[in-house]
Amino acid sequence: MSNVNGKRFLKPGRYLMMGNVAMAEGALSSGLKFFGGYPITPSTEVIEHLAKRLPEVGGCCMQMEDELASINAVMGASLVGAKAMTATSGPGLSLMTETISMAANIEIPFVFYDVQRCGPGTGFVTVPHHNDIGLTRFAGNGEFEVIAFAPMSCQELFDLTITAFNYAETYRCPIFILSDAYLGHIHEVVNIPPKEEILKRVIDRTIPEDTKGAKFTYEDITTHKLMIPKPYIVGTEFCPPLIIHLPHNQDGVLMPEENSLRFMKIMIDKIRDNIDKISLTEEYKLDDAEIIIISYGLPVRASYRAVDLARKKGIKVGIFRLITVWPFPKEKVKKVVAGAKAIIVPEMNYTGVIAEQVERVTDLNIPVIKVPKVATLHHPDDILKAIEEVAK
Amino acid sequence: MLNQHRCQGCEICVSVCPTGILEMSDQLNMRVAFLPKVKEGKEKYCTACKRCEYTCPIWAIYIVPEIENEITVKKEEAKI
Amino acid sequence: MSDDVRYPSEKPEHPYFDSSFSGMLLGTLVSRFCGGCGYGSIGQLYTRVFEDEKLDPKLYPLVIGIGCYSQIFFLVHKNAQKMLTLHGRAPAIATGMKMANPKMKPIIFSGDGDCLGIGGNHFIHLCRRNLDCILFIFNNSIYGMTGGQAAPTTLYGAMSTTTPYRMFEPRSDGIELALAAGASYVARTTVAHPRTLMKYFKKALKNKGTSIIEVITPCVTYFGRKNLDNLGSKGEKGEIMDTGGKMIEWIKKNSIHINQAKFMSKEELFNKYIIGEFRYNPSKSEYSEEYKKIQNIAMKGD
Repeated sequence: MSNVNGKRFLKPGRYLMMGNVAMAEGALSSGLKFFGGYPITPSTEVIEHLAKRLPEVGGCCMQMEDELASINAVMGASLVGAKAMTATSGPGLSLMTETISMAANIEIPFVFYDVQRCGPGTGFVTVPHHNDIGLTRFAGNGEFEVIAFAPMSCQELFDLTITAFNYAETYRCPIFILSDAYLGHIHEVVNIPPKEEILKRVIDRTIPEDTKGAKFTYEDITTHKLMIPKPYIVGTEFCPPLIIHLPHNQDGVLMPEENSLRFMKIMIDKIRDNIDKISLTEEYKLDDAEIIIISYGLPVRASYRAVDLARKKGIKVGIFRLITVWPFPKEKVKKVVAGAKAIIVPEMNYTGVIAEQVERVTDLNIPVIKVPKVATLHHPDDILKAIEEVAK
Repeated sequence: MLNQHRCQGCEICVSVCPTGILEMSDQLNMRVAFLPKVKEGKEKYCTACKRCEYTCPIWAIYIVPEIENEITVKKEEAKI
Repeated sequence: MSDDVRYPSEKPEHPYFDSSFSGMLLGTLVSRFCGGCGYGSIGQLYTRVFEDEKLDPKLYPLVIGIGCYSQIFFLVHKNAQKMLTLHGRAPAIATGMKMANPKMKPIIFSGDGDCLGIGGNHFIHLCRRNLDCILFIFNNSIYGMTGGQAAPTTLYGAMSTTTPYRMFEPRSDGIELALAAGASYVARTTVAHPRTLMKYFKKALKNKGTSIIEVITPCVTYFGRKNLDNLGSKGEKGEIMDTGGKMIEWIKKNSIHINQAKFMSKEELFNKYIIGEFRYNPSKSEYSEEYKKIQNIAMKGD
């Protein structure tokens, strides 16, 4: 399955690629076999590229009649053991939330690529606006946790997609890759490593030899830790006798209604208990920083330049970058901001979703300053101005 | 003819029988439902076509080959 | 589920009892259907066909929509791999399953509200693509699970909880929709003709293409008890259909075979069900085979 022909992996080297295409190539390297999508600006390049590439590796790329059908087809493909993903934008994500909540209940892995555009409603389709951050956190009715990545360059779009597919197989919850209308369309140099290196990282979908074991997440009786088994595959021996999206126990049998709280605990804690392994962050010049910039996505590029300019003026400032936006690393952020004079959160939305999360974990003495920008990019001078105002 | 306790008294077997030998009786089972029975003296008209067996929604009535090779209709019984 | 009262069963049991899911799991037959509902018989026919033809249930996953028939998983074959989906999205999920694993042939259980109401769009595109699967539409002309509301297929003049002044909308016809969209095998039958249903099922298993089988089933609790025999068309004479037997008689009276319906006028066919095979076109090109040709072109070319 992994090397039907040599076309799954590109020849190693440097390529000039568009962001959307880099993501698609990253997905193909992980072993993508099914893509179901609907054309929507600004993510149409993904389906156009995969319509050409997926048949070459023996996969299937389907353009469905609407977003509801595309996410349901992705779920059906993931049930029978194929790695599957879909790509859409804000209005499509609003339509797909019912299926995302069903997939979280029956613990099927899939990856969701969201190229955000201006909202609410149809909005301007060709400008970025990080307005889906809140929607991905609560993407559907019911209680469940998700994992969301926020890359900031085309190279990261290639690498983080491989990580996203691995997380999907390990943690079996909805995985989001948050991009935006500009990041999806810029052309940058991407370094593609040789295929042996990629194959070492990729986690494949296999079934264990003991097909009678647990199929859903359960709490181990002796250690009281939540164990997540490998995903089941319909059509093989390793499949529960009935797949139903009501609260159930580890073998798929329905729980009595009084025990529903235990099921919610499994849905939420299976991510929160593993937050140290899941959460990826990056730090830049944080050792002696008094002012800290916390950000994710495209504004981080402007923040690097702003920090260098400010350091030349003698202001002690550093960056704490969130590569995984959800689950929010509360404990890490608390440790980082302890003793800081101020926190600046440049975000490409007005509400400041992550700024509000940061306010929750800091004590009231540290002011949190938002630098909102919608439909345009941050310029390093905007962030520099905010830094200088605080440093006074 | 043995009466049984799984029957729900829906009368579907009565209406699909092609020879028309079933009718509802006055006997009640554990579920407080009227049970079907074969009309008097018409046991030998059963052709074992199995229409009652196919259409019963609760799988309560079915054909069982008797030891003497005489095909009769037999229903299941609860031991209570 | 633990509150269900289980009546002990007597030997000799029903011949297909051991092959059913509830027979294997619980030892007795637990059925959550009303007395007189048609789905119990459909579960039995499904188990029969799988046992008699000795098919491998792993290659035929059972995709069940949301509705009263969702409880049918107790009565089907014990090895069938059943899964419940969202309301109306079963054809889309089956498309994904088939394209990711072309050796399988999904069997979809859907209802009249599930398939022709909320899922109408997915139904049309499934027939248009002619994917290799079997789709059963269980038409009881009412929304049974939620308590008896009107459905797109409710007959004219019927009473339901959302049409207390009688149903006045023209009803939608799943067969005409499937014929127009291009399915390759289209048929309709009723629960009162069980052998015909098994024959159509076996034919659909061999057909490479979309097979749509519509089954007219009685719903005693919500449709039968509230409606008269003649649905109020000839004045108010007629009897309430409060047992399964009366509803089966009504279905048999109102089903007309297609060969006979060709000679009847439109007024006579109003509010009746036409049963039979409408189209059988096994040579129509099927979606996954066409896609295989594209894959071959892509893999060879450069």
